[in-house]
Amino acid sequence: MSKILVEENNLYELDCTAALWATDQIHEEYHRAKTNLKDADFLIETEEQMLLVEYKNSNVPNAANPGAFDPEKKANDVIQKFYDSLHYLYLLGKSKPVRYIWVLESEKSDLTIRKRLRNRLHKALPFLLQENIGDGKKLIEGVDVVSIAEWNADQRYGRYPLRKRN
Amino acid sequence: MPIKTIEVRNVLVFQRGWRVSDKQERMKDTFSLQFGNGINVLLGQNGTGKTTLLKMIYAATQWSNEQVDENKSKNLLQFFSNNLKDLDELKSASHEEELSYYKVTDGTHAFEESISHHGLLDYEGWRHLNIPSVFIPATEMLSHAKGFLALNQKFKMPFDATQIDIIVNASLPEAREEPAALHSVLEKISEAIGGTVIMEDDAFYVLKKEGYKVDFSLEAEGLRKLGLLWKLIRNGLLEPGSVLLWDEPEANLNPELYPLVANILLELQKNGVQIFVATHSYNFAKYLEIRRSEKEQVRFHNLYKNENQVVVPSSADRMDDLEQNHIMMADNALLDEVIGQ
Repeated sequence: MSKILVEENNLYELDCTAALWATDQIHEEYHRAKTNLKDADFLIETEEQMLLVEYKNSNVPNAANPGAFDPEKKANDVIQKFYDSLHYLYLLGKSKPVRYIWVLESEKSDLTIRKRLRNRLHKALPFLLQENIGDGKKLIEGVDVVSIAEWNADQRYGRYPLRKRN
Repeated sequence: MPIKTIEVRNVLVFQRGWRVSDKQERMKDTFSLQFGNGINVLLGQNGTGKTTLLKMIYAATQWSNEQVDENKSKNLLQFFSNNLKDLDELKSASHEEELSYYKVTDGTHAFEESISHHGLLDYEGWRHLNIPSVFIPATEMLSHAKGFLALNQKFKMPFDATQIDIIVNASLPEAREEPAALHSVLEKISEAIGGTVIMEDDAFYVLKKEGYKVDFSLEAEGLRKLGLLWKLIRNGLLEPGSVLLWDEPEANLNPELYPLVANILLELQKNGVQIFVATHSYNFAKYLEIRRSEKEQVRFHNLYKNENQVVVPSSADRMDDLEQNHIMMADNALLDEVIGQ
């Protein structure tokens, strides 16, 4: 199955050919149903897990004032998107472990900043909650904040290449 | 003219990488760096030669000054320690028999001190450039100023020339007029230290806004650093065309003051001061990276040991693009450990 998902700026595409299933329709469905929920950009189903992907690239030619983009401020929004996207997964009956990945390209970020953001997300996402009351059940399996290059180089994520459109 | 390049061969940690016979290959075998005209941030683990490079640049700029007395042989040795007796002690231990030198250039003129020949090989064109420079050592010195210079004249003191020079520079009288372009910088420092710096009877004090004096030694060491910077600016030593070399600005400084110091350095750079800092702090270096208004304002140079244990450089406009950046690697390892990855 060929499944190419395109990000909102129409500059990069995510090749989900190797996935069992994938969608970029969470936003569309939430909007159509007039919900007040926030949404992550992509959902990829693999053999073992669901990859929930939020994509933000302020290093693109048409980005307004890319230097002003502050990943720290954006983080709260990204956290909210995870929680709200769980409803979509539930309604589709997708119960595989979820890994949340924020693909982030910005002038200010680097590997250390991305790891700090990952840790901040880790604290706010339900890792401790599921440990306290989950009894083995999990809402989330793992979280990452990666650049496009890191996404493509990762063994798990690189199977779904993120590349510039022709 | 700003400092453009440095080349080092067989001095202290800067040893040759491999034996080669071809002359062109020999050049590759020599440590060399190209500097930016703005702020140059030197990163690297302990023992990779960051302070050594700062001292070499300082020695070279001091030699560009006509007032330097050749008979006092103000060479690299004095800037390292007053305990060393012979320049040979600066030779890379594993290559003692080989050519050993360092060379600093502004792209047109060169200053070259040969350790193996015990002398200056090239400095005639350099001698009259008069590049004003200030070296701020990692150790705070101003709280020891009282009587220091008089004692130093008479006795052999356990301090190197950079530590003595900073007391001399801070002890100079204030410039007749405050540099207008740096008024806001002086204001910011003044706000942080709660006053201004004065010198009375050989000793430094912070004259607080409320009107009372606090002996420098009683101030927090981080604030003493800011006070020193205030005094150097007020004494007219950080004017356009000058070179500031600062070893570990972050030492003893609360991280909340990093953005202030980064802003001050960026302001000084905009005002025409070329700056070299050596730092172990990712946060401090990152403030310089994200607060610059032009990419060219800040250039990063990472020193690391390659697989042959030879120190090699990697330079970039962004820290993320440096090879083997150990300050980031250390932070990253901690961040991974925090969430058990």
